Amino acid sequence: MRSCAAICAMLAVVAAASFLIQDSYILGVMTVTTFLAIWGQSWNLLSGLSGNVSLGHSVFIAMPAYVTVVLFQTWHVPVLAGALLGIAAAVALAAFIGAATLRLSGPYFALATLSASAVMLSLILHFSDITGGPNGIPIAFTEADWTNLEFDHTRSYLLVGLGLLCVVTIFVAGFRRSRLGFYVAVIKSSEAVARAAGIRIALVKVVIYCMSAALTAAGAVVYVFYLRFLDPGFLAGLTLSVEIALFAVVGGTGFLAGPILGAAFYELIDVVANARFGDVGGWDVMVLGFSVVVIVMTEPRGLCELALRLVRAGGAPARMRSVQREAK
Amino acid sequence: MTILLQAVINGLLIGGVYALAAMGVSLMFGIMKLINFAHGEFIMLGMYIAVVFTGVGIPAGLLGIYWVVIPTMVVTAGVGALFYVALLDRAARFGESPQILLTIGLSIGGIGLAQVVAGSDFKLPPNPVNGASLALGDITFQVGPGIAFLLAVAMAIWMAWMLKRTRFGKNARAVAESRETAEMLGVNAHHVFLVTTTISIALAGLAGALVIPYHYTYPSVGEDFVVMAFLAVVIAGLGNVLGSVLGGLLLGCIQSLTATYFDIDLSTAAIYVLFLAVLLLRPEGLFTAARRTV
Amino acid sequence: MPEPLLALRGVCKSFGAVRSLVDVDLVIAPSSVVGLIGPNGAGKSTLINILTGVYQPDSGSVIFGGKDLVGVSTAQRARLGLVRTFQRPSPIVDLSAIEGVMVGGLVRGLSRTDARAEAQAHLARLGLRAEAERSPRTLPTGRLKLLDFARVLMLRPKLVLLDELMSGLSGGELEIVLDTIDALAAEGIVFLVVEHLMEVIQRLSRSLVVMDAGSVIAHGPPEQVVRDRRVVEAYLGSDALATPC
Repeated sequence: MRSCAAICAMLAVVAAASFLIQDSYILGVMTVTTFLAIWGQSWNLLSGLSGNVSLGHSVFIAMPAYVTVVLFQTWHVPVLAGALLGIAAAVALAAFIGAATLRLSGPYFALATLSASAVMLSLILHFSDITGGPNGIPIAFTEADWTNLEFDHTRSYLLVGLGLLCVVTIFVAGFRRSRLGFYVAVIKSSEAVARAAGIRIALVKVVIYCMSAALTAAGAVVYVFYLRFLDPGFLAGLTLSVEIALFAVVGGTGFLAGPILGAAFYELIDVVANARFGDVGGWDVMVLGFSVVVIVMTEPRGLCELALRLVRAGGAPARMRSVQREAK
Repeated sequence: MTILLQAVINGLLIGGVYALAAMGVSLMFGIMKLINFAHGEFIMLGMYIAVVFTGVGIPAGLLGIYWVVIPTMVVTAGVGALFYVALLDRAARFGESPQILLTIGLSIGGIGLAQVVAGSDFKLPPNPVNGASLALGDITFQVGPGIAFLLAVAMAIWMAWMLKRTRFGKNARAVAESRETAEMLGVNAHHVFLVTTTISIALAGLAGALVIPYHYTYPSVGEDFVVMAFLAVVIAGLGNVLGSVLGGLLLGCIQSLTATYFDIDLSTAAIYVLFLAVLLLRPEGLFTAARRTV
Repeated sequence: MPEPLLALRGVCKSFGAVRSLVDVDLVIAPSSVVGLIGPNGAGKSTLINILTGVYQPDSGSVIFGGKDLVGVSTAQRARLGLVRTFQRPSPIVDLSAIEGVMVGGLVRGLSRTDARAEAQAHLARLGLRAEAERSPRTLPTGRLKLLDFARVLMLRPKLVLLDELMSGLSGGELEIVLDTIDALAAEGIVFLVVEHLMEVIQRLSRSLVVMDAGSVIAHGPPEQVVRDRRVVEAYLGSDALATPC
């Protein structure tokens, strides 16, 4: 598929280019962007395609991260095994939440996902014996060991991340052309029409929830070893979920490159703000938040749409792009 | 027994602010079918505006600081009107998803803006209300929350009167029932929406102004109130503005009781679990006859 | 006598104090085009919703192809061959017109290639070939209704409930649809056509069901039914009968 191949090619180029970059700050920024993009892409599988905005995706980041790290540090379970368990736990949680929220849509669905994320945070803070409470868990680094996702160089995490992002993007591209992708599109427009067409709505919803959770979790378990620190305020906080939703929207939920562009945009604001204003916090969320307002009011299809318009130089809006059309 | 009574009293007083916040959210939700995820940030805005006004001066006397309430409400009402004219007027034609994203974007953007402009530090203008309390026998009444509670009740009474007796109230209820029908009968829906938004945001400003004497002001302070507001609105059911007032008071009590008898973290978790339970089991609300599914 | 395709016995449905369906008995043979008419409020929409599983009857039974439909979801019924079209179908925004139609084939288990081919055939038949790749958002209601019709045909249904399909169609579209229904009926698909347009009803129906106030008041060949005094009364009021025709 055209845009998928183009994106993967671009990511390969970035991976190659990273060997020419020695500045650890830049490599760090690239790594953060990559993992945010993974989460944005996985979130889009659930919310962008179905139209139901989830504001609680951080549960699929925090829970697998905690499962993997606690199993590793307390019970010495090898990270790769623990990661699989963490991902499985995220999928189970997704099945549960997906089934529970079947009848909800719009703001009610958003509020339910927000609440789920808040409950997760409370539980993490409360069971501090296991989770370390608000102080989190520092991850002890002994020696480079790829089976335990311990790399001594940022670039290794970046490369793993880029590979994962490729996989996730290919998965999402394939999904949109698949049977399920069609069903989701029908459900998004009208559940009544979907039912009349014989689509098992409940099953579809739960399955995509699980898929989205699995991909999000995969990114989370790697990222947390890059961070070397499990911070509940960040991983389980309400803000991260909202940020992911917002930058994916800014990038453009209808595009395969949308969440990636959105993540890059968001990280760019951070870099610029740090450079110009140093330690004054708030610039990144401020610009992100207001960008969403601007995008929703002017070009709801996002930055990708704006980019396409520029490329077409004439300024005419792109025709409705249906990803499925390219699969003949 | 005294502990229980004290906890309930504390809860009702705290609940006053939740009720004020809930009224604002419920009004917009009921009439405009829009959940304003940024409502907490409008409260925060009200708080910062009130703090700025206190910079002008705080007259002597226990209640001196409350002079800022009126000017704050005026300013936030203006902001509300601007909010409607610039954004909501056009966004009314969007679907639910864009509306959610719009207000969430505004919410996060507002928090960032506050951080950039005012800094992350916690502000509390020195004033006699902070920490002051009245004792009646074994029970103490905190003055700050108490005044907020009284004003919440006053606004609830005013709201009830406004919705039932004024022409605007009747028009608003007609639009809430069915916009198409109301417009056919000659009601100007845009005008109704403009006034609704203005009142809703003014109520947020009021809540903010009432709270600054005893509650810290900082960029993400909105979260403290808005969760309770949303929950009160959901419990009461779509459009049940007065029910949301009761909901706010009830939630204040629940928070106070769980904090007294258990611990803070569980208190927060309990609220969210209650929220989830209502959303999943009875999204049409607890105070309404089951009429609609969401 | 062949087993009926659809049999309703004693179906009742009330909404609060409103009795929408009162003791509805209806039997539809496996080969026919049945018109369903009745004044507003007669219960036609409720009947469609009962048949498709949107509502459960308060009492009575609905048997389709020998199978009791109690507890069977709308989606399951569609897969069993009981489908309906919508009076005002929503456009499926993220798919092109032909993709929206393909969905029916995918549900049936076809591969995407086969579903696309079959959808193309249906679109050609209904005169929609030009619109195949367009976004449904750009199409007028008439075209959307035809797409909806094509989609349910892709499910290879046994019984198709047409809910006011004809209104909103142009003259040319109407002709194509009527011919299509005739052809498909000849192949064995049963249509239950809910309509206000009498010419359509008379042209299509081999038998006519008339409802009024929640019950079936007549069921038989059209020429017979329109002369039934209860039918005349239902539509025109009892004064009409006082006038000798």
